[in-house]
Amino acid sequence: MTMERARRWGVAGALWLALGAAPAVAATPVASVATLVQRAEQELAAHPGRAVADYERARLLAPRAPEVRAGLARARAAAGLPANSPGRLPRLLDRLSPDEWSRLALAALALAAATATAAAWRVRPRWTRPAAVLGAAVALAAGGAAWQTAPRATDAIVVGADTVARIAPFASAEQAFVAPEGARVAIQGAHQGFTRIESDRGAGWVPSSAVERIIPPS
Amino acid sequence: MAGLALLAALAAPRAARAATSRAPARALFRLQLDGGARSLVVGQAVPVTIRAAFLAGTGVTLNGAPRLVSDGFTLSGLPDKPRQTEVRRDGLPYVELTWTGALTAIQAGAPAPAVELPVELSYRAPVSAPTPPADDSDGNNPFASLFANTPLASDPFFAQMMKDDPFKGFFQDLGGAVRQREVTLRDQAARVTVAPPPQPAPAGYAGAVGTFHATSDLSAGPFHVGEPLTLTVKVTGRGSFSRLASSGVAESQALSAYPPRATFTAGGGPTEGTKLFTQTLVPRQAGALEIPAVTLVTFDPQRHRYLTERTRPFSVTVAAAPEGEPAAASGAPSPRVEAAPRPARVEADTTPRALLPAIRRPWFWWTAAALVAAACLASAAASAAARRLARRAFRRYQRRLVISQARRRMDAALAAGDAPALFGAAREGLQACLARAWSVPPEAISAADVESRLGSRGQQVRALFEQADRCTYGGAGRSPANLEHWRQVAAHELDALKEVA
Repeated sequence: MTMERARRWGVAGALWLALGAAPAVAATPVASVATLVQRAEQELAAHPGRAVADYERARLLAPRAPEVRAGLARARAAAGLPANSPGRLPRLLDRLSPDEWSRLALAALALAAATATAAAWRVRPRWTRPAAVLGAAVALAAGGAAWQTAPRATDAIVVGADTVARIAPFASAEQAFVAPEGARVAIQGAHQGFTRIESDRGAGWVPSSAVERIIPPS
Repeated sequence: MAGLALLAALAAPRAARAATSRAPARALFRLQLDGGARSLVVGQAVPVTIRAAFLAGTGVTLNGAPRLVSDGFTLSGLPDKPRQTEVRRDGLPYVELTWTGALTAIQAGAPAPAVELPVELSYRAPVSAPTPPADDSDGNNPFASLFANTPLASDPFFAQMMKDDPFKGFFQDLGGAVRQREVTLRDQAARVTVAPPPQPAPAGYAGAVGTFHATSDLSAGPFHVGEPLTLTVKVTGRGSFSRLASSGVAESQALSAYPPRATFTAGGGPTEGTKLFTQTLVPRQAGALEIPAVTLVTFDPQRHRYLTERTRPFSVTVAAAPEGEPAAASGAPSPRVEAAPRPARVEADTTPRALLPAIRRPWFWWTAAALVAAACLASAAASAAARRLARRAFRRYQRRLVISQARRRMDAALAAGDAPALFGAAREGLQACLARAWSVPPEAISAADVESRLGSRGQQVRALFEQADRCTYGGAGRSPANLEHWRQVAAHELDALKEVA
């Protein structure tokens, strides 16, 4: 490898680090399962909505932990929400965390890329071609699962009891619906202490303190 | 006796009170304990009615809700807006405001409760009696009241024409000045005795006094280890619901229990309603599970004794958790299955990890894009290399084709004894091979080129080229006799050049 080529690769790597890897090492919200579960148990009786939010966060980190699943069910029951009875596909998706699905997709993509390259160079094409196809299929499936299960930055939990959603962002506005505590909603915007949410009951403005993002802003 | 706040003289000047001793009350205020309760027990709640009546025409502004001024009682359940009706008292119209609420005794031996209501009244003060005119002549002047201060008053024509004053007393009848006054209406209930409940109180008594009835319900099965179930205790009746508490089902080895949550729904009366205790329970073991009765201890003021209400217990069958453990057979003793909550495992996981999944982070997409780009670049390079190889193979094929054609032509010429054809075919084959190696047109290669480029290595090729030239330009007489030899030489050189090219 000539010096010129090495220099080009160095520049490309530095650019990749600057654009891709740098945000990865930037400050992201972190938590441990133990802390989340402990806090959720403390809040379960008085603030079941907050307990639901903490258990949802714990489920992101430890989806296979039965105590987390049971705790989430308890918190939902304490908040008065109906029991969650997911179908076969959601149960399958819940076997891995969104982060694990993401990394599996990336690993499968790496395998697909490597074997596709090998197949293109005719290195054992009898094995590399099926491996490339399999890797691409696994990457697509795992990526889809990760995309489906990973909460958006706008996903939030109603933590206020009997939170009234109004049609406008002020206290005297007409009531739109009552957002049940512990329910999952999507945040659409904020204005002067009010947050616009969208749930299965409709869209409306609630006090900003009544909703908590599942993934807190860093 | 309930008190009456008489504010009759409020609107009249002090000097006129004697003359207006029968003036109607402008405001009446009354606190009434419904049912005529005389003796209460600490914790007992009784409905109360607070009435404030104002004489029609009196402007009233409430400066607050009725407030209790006794330390031994609490007042609760008052509506924000009172009920407003029109009533008649002593033949006079009144506007009556009514609040209903619950009065709860909280201290033994407390004096009778009193309530206050701050209001602002506005009313028109009645005028004093008209004074007789100082001058009799003025009394006969019909325009004295209206034109006394005008130039017309001294006009004899007007004085003669208007004998009787039509406006006499008109402005006096309109009343006096409007007055506003802030007052606090107050009334004290009749004497009420408050006694403590009998001692000692039974265990579990939280101070609820009244008549209550409790029922319980359990969420629908099937039940599994680790999955929560909900026990609901519904208490209806009349009394101090705020003091009604339940600790719910206690935690046991077979059951995780969380503190119950209470919600109250008001009923028809101020002390009536329904209180729901909702408790989340989590079975820890598979098999038969007994959910014990929930006990509520209250004091019944009518019977004057403590009552212990027990809900019915529940017997359910709990199956093992769905994660592979076999479900316990109904009614049969089952092996103890570890409960779902395993806090030790969770508590050990104290490693801080990023909550944001990788797929929502930029590096994931950059890495995926880099992998795809690398694969595409490598595939493109492989494709280019393959095309290059194919081109080489095609050239090799073309060369071999030319050589094989030249050999066939040489063989045919040898068989026919045609020397020009033999050397011509040999030269064309050699020119084709050298042309591909040197990247020049085949016909442009001459014997001199061969000598200059190949040197001694091209001696035979040059000799073949010269023989071909002799045959071409010298005629048949210049042809060599040993054609077989030259054919072998040409074949050997073609084989050698095939590898070079």
